Amino acid sequence: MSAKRILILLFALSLILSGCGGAPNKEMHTIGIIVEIPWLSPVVDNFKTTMTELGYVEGKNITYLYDPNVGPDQAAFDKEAARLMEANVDLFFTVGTMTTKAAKKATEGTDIPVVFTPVINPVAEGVVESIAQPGGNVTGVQIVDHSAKALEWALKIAPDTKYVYIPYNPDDTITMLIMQGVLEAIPSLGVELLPSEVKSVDEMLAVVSALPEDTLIFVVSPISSLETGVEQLGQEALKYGVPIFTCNREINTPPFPISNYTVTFPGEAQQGAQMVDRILKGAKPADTPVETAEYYLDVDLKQAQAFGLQIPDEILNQANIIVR
Amino acid sequence: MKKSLLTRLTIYFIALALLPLLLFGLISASQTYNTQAAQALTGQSEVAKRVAEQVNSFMQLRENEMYLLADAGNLSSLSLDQQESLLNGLFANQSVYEELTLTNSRGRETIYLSRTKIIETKDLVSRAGSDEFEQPKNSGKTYYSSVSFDEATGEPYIIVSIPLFNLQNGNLSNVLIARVHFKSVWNIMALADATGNGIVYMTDADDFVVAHANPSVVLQKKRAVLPPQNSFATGLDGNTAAIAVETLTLSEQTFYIVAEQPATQALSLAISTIALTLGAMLVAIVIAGVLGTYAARQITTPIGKLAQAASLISEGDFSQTADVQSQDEIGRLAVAFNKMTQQLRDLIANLEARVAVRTQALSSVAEVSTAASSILETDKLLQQVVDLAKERFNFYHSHIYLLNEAGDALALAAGAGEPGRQMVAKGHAIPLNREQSLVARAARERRGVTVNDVTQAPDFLPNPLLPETRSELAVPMIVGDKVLGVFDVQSEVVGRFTEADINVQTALASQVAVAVQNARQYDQTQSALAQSEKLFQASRRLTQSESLQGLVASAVEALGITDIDRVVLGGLDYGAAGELESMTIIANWSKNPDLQATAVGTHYPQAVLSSISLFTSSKPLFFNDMWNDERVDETTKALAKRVNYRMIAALPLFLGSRQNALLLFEGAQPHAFTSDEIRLFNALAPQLATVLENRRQFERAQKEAAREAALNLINQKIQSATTVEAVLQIAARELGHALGAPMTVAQLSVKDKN
Repeated sequence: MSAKRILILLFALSLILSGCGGAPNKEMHTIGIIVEIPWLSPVVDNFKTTMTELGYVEGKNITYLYDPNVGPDQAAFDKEAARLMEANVDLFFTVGTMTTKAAKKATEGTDIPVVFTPVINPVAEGVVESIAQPGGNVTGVQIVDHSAKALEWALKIAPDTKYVYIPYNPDDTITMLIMQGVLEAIPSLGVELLPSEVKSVDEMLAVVSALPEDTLIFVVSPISSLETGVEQLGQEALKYGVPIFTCNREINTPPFPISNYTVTFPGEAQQGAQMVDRILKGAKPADTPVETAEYYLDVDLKQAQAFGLQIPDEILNQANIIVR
Repeated sequence: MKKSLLTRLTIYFIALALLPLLLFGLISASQTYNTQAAQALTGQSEVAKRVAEQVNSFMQLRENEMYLLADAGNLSSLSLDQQESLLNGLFANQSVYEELTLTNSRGRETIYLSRTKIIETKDLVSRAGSDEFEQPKNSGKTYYSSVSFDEATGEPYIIVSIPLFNLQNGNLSNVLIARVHFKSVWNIMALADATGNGIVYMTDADDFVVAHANPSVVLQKKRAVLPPQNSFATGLDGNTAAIAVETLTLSEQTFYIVAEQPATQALSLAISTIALTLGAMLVAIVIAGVLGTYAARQITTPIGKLAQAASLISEGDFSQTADVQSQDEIGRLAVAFNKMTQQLRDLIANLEARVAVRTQALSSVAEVSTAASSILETDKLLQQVVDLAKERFNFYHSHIYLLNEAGDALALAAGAGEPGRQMVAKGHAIPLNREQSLVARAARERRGVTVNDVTQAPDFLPNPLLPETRSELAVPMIVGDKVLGVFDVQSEVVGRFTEADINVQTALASQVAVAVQNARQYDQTQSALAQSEKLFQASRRLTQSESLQGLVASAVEALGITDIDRVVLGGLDYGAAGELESMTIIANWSKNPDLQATAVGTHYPQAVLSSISLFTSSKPLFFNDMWNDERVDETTKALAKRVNYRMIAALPLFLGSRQNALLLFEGAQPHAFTSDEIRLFNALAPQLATVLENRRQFERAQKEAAREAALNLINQKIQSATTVEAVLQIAARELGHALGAPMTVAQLSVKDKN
């Protein structure tokens, strides 16, 4: 064997040895995203941000397939889920109950994971088998509904309230799920529920001008079919001096409530992204317990002032976000 | 499977390169492992302690908050509204406190605040009897519950309760009970400065994980298996990890802060060292392998060439040479090998030539032997052998000597060519004891002897018939242990005969000897057959003899010995006591009328018989020459000379145990009786005795019958006489005729005529 051949062999060996170190994970993931309500789309933004922080760079090792204009009914979500399945997504990230059900249905018989955030009472909705052991291919972040508590916060801010107007369309399934707790709590809160069942935005808005004094408007979300009238509802409330409060929404956004008791988009998005990260790294959805989103109390001092209300320090002490 | 030399040498090179590296690597890795393992455990222990302190601080902070609220606000002395308002302040830290409850001294809830639930007055219950009330009440100290899990969220929480005392009287006024969310502790775990990819988690006394950076671990209610002491053990994820455990005690509750670091990371340096060592070993293997192979090839390639050449040579290709050009030991070995091969080549060529010669010789031996074995006549056989041997072996001359019957001389029996025939004709013979004779010496010493330059032999006598003889080889012809003769070959070339020639000619001589032996045995067999025939014919003649004279004549004819001139048959007479009295010649035969045999009727009295010993011998006696035979007494010799006979055979004839006759064969010339003749004599003797006796009996009976017949005739004639005178005349005539009397007188006397 010549000296040249020996040198070539040694060089090749050094290359082999230098290549013994680990290589970065360059596996490309495709995430299909379905959002139930447009105003929940910030969750997606926050989700992507967290994913980036976790090392998933869009276009590099992750691709998101997301159409923000999907909806608003179950059929539309089912169709979108089917489309994403055809696009060979690796994982569904769903925001909302209907979208989660659509993804679950589309992935039935496969092991493609579905991570949701948020879903209220996912066990009752049939999305998972249990909180600790979801089973199947679906897990995510749940919301333990605290809408009634949110109304209690509102009543503490507006202690003179005698009536509450909580517009809802009985055809909105999720809304009715939330309303159930609220309706149960109202008797203990010492207020009277004004007729709130409406079928349309117009019908919802038409009521505002006729609301009696000492009434507050409480918006439970999501209110799917009435969503388009939420901003106008806030304007009507301000116009007629009817304090408006929300739950499960964002402070400082339409209808610009005085207070809002809610989970936060960044919070639930972060939780969801972390779950997606764990699942992409090998955790099985079936063994990944459903996590619970944190509730936060937000108050808007300017809005309160606009309605002539003084938020007590006791509330402010407990508020997570105070808009001044 | 046997490894090749190349493989073995390469392995040795690799082993030599590897062993020190391996030893160094093992020691280094071991030390690194031990050091890093200790460092890892120490590091994890520090992490666990630090986190334990953080958790403890966190819980202390909660406790302090509660005490501060109670003490600073003088909570016990406030109204319910004031108390509620004050307690709501704790919810400012809403992520920690989920519920706050204030009981009175009896345990009755007076205030119940929740961040998630709407509490009505009717929801207030008594906590009397519960640990969270009774323990702080009784101990006056903070109470910590075990960790519980929320039904709706599955998240863990802990109950912390503190006793509040009336400052005036020191009695228990209230118990403040807080449900503390453990998620904040999760954050401590998540933010813990764990080493590398390490994790920190917290377990309760039942080993349930109650705080972990990964919520799933807690929500799954996963249980950890903690080692009894800080060590490398199975971690929470099932993989080996450096695990350090720090105990955290909150009131009566015990928790464990566990810091884990995957062993692969904790021991990364050791693993790197091992990997580096392995890598270095791999490089060493490759380098040693390459260099070893190169070096081994330097050794094995020429050896391989040598081996290949040797292999081809072993298969018969002697033209092969080892093509090794190096000047080292192997090169020298190759040179020596090639020299050896050349010598071997020459040797084999020489051997082949010798083998060819030997084969030719053996072929010639076989041819001569075959020819010899096919001839049953000894003379012809020997002549054929010498002629063929001379021709086939290209000898100058060859001849065969046979040992005579006396065994004292070697007579030339056959010689090749004209010189050989002349020498045979001359009756050339060599005494066995002649010292200077090569032929005699071969017979004496029973081995082949050679003189490769006869001109240098001091006692060499040139043979004028064979003037060109320069070397000579004589080999004995031996069958069994008997020397039959000597096969002598000569060459006109000095140094012609080698040891191989001795062996070849000895083999030939042996086979010729066997052939001679066979021929002789054939002759003997033929002779025996002829003798048997002769005996048979003699027996037939003897039994057909009509008289004793004819019997004797038949005996002579049966023996067929031409030297016999006369024969006499003497009948022996014995006295009443059985003693020999006399012998009477009862029959004779003579070949020549001029030399008549003793007449029939000649009587020899006992006195004569006793003086001639051969007459009284009980055994056959054969004298080749009576006149010169020491066995013969002087009387007999004188008698023999007187009657002019020299050869004699005395054959006593016995009937039973008694000799009844003696048959003497006489010849005027000496005659050497052969063994065959003697055997024939001995075989005929009993038959002669029997025939003789029968003849004598027959003749005796004939005589008796004739006498009786004569008497009867006389009697008949006498009875036919009618007168007395006629009777007398007839009696006298017949009796006289019968008795052979020339004159017979018959007298009749009358006693009383008147």
